[in-house]
Amino acid sequence: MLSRFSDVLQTAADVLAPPASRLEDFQYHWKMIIHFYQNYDDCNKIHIEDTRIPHHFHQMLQLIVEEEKEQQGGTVGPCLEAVVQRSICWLDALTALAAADRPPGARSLALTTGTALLRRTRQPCVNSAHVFRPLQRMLIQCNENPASPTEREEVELLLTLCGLVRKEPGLANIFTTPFVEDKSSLLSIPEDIQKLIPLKSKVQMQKKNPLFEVEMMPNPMRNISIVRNNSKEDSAVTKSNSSIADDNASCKSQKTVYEDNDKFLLIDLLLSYLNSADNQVVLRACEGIMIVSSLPEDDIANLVTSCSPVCETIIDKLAEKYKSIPPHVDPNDVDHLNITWAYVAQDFGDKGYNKFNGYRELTSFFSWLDYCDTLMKECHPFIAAHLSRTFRAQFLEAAGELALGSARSATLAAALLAKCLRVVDSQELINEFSNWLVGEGEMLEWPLLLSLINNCLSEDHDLTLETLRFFETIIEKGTEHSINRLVLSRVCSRGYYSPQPLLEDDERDRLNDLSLSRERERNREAMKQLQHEDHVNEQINDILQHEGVDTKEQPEMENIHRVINSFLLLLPRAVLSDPVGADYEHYIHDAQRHYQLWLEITSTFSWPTEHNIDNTASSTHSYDSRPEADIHLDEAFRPLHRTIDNKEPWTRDKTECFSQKLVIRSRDLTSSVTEEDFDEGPFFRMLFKLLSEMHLRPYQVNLHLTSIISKLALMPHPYLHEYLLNPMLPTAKKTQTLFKTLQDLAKKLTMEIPRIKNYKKVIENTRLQLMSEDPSYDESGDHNQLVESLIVLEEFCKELAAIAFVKYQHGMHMHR
Amino acid sequence: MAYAYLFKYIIIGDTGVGKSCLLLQFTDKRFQPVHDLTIGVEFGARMITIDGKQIKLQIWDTAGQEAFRSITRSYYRGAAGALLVYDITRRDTFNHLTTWLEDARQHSNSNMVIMLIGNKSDLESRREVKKEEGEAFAREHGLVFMETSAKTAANVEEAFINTAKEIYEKIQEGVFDINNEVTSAVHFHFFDLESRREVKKEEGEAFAREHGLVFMETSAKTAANVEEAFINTAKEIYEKIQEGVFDINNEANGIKIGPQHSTGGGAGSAGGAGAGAAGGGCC
Repeated sequence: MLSRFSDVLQTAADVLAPPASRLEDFQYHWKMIIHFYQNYDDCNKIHIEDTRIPHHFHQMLQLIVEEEKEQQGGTVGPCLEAVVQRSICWLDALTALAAADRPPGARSLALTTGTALLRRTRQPCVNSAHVFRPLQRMLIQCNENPASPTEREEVELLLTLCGLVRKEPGLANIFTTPFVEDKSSLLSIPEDIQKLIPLKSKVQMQKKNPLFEVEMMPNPMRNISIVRNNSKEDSAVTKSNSSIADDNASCKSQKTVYEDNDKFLLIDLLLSYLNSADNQVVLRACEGIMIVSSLPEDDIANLVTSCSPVCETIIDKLAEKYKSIPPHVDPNDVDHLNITWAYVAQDFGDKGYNKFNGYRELTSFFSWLDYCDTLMKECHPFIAAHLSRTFRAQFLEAAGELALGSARSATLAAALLAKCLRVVDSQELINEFSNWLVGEGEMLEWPLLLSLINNCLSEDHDLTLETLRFFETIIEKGTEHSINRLVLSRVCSRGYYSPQPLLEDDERDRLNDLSLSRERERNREAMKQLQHEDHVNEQINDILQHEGVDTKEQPEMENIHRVINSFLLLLPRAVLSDPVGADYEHYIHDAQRHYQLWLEITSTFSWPTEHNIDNTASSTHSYDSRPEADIHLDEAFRPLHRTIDNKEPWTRDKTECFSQKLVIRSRDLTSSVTEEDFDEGPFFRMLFKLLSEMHLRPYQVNLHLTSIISKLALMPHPYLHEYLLNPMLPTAKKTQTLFKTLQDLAKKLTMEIPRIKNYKKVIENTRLQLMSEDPSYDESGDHNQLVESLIVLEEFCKELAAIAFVKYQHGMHMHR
Repeated sequence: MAYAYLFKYIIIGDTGVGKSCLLLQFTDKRFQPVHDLTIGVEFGARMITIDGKQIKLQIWDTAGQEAFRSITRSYYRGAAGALLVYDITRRDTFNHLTTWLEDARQHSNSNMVIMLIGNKSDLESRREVKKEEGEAFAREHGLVFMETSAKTAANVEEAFINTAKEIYEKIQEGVFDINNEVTSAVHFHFFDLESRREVKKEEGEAFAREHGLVFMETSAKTAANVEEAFINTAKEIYEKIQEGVFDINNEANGIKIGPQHSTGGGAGSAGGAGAGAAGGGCC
């Protein structure tokens, strides 16, 4: 009853006075605002939230959002049009409020209202001067006060503008020099607004931000646009009002030359928020930079790199964070960190880690590194190139070399840099990293690399360990260049290979060594037995024939048996901790998995193909050093090269030239490669030295050492394969090889270990302890380093055998 | 507040499907009809209890607009769970699911639990995507599915909590190794190659994903047998050595080890013999 009555009343009222149009509503709220400020007493301390101003702003926003829903074809409705045409100079008013902050809280409200307007409307017409001028003004005026309480609101507005630029790249122009008017005009409030909103600006225009120290030339004639414009962009505006489009006419031309005082205001402003104490503010600034940097337009990318110090600032910040890591951080803590950018709260990650020394600094550093890495992956290639160069020059070379140089901090530095390299994912950064480490150009002995290698040989086991882990990472993240430099440069010359005459010397030498000859005899005996084991060989033959492998290649198969046996029989059974050999399957599966990974990693490298490895392997079965075997070997080698010749001339060119160059280089050092000892280079020399001294070094060091070597052994490079995995390789007497080193070590261990009282039991117990997950074992000083190294060697041999087998298996597969 | 685990969630899906509203409903239990466009990431957090354990959900609400995809995908890493949201009243948001899914799988951990969510279930009259279609998509891609309404809060709690339960189960099964699990100073044990030769976990997973099947097929023909052959071979060699060549009793005697070997060990203790000789030399 009552409701019906009110309905009637309403209808009557509507007839007498029709409901206000949306624009009229809009104007009403605007007038209320003006009215408030006309009567505003500056001494009044009332907060803006206690006034009706937020309500009126909210209503105005709502009206614009609602009218947009009804607009067809992206045209602009009357309320927004009033704003864009400045008949209702709402945005200028917001700027005045942001500058004056009256009543208190007005700045924050003005900023959030501006942001909301841009985010809620589909067509905010930012390319109109009546829209972008007030926005520029608002940003610059706020930015004059660093660490202001409205940082969050300011940076949200900035991010919103970045978002708009991302969707409409032409908008970038309004943040570049010609469109950013001279500063004084941006820092003053237009007179008509001063009349409407008579507030004295509370903000003292301090020139705190050096960015704005630069005099911007007031040059209204410079109507040049840096970013190419898409003509579609202003169609919406032109539809509603042609006069608005006048501002855009200037955006049509294109500019390619930048002047010294050219600025990219958007990025420069973002950079000024990177040092905020508020993580949220920094995050928004980072996002803004990422959004603008990931734009596909070349022009904008050029602008970012040449008109703003963005790359430099970001990398400087990285270097700064690196330097602030306390020197006594435990390298183990570094290894366990798992940090991504964006969310760096106190409780992020495991709470147990919060307490360790330097956690905050480490988190901050690695989080920033992750940001750099993410930015690298997402940004325009121009920016990526610039950023990676800066990364090397300003971070790696400055911070890194300094730390690696001084002995005290070298351990931590190695741990930190290894971790950096491990977590970095963008290929450009990895390349910069490896080039920095292994060097470029002609100089082979890169000083940094040499000092790292020296660090590995240090008496300080921690330094050795961390530096080895660093090398492990370098290899894992291997680029073709770094692996060439580190590992292949010498091996590629095949200078380790030395045919018959020297081998006889070698053989005589071996014969003189009673133990070795006995061991060999024993091995041979076991092998003969093996070869007579019909079912094993038949099984293999069956498989091979089934796969269409010629029976002529049977020697090849024998060869792989010999290789495997050489590794597995290296240590006498008496000292083995696991005589049953229960782990082979594990090792094979592992080797298969890792080999596949290496095949993938190196698939783009210009290495000789897999196919040739088998030829190499089959050709070097001169275990007995019979002359005919060697002849056979020499013959076998020619076709290998021919295969390369025919199949992949480009591959051959590269590798052959490379190795030839190195042959010459090596010749410069030693008069003749083939007759003299092979120089394995500093890296292998270090590895072999550490290997030969395994019994003197702790378990962890040995683990990482063998891990590095097994990675190298997995690499699908024929010469490297031969050098590391062919125990029958004929070499000059003093040429060091992996197998020789292992033999020497095995000899040492089999001599020393049985001197330990009750050594069998000790071996057994040590193995059990190593396999247990008891962390206290690591800390306890009660280690038998000698026996631990024996177990590492024993397992390492199994692993090498598995690798050799898996590579052989793969080769057979390729052969088919 | 103390918690046993911290799960990172991401909320992904087209713009306007109600991602931010879902988050707001879950963390603040309220609905906001007008929401600003999300550009960067927004964070929310809430503590839940599963199996008597306090679990903190840290939720990353991302931007749905295509223009911000580069920034959105940079947040995928390290997420344990994802809510993939579409709007049941807009067919196009459902059609884009495949793209989102690919993106998520490519940029995140393969163990990430993904929950498919059809939002705005309160707008039944405007429905364009049938519930069955959502179910079918989820089944096909191995996702968990649920229809929710951020407005009425229907199923919102369930969506977040069920995802957490699934992650929790994966942790119990040992599938998941989330960031904040205590890795303490785990003793490196040699035979566990996983811990020693840590190829980046993602690499391994990517490898398994991309090549696992192919590899298995090829190896099924040849490798299996060859492998066995290899293993048996090695075992036999050891057995052979064990048989005549080595006299274990002799070693257990405890008589001076070095010289004892050279005589008692016979051919088998070649290494020991060498040791004896060299040892004699140096003493």
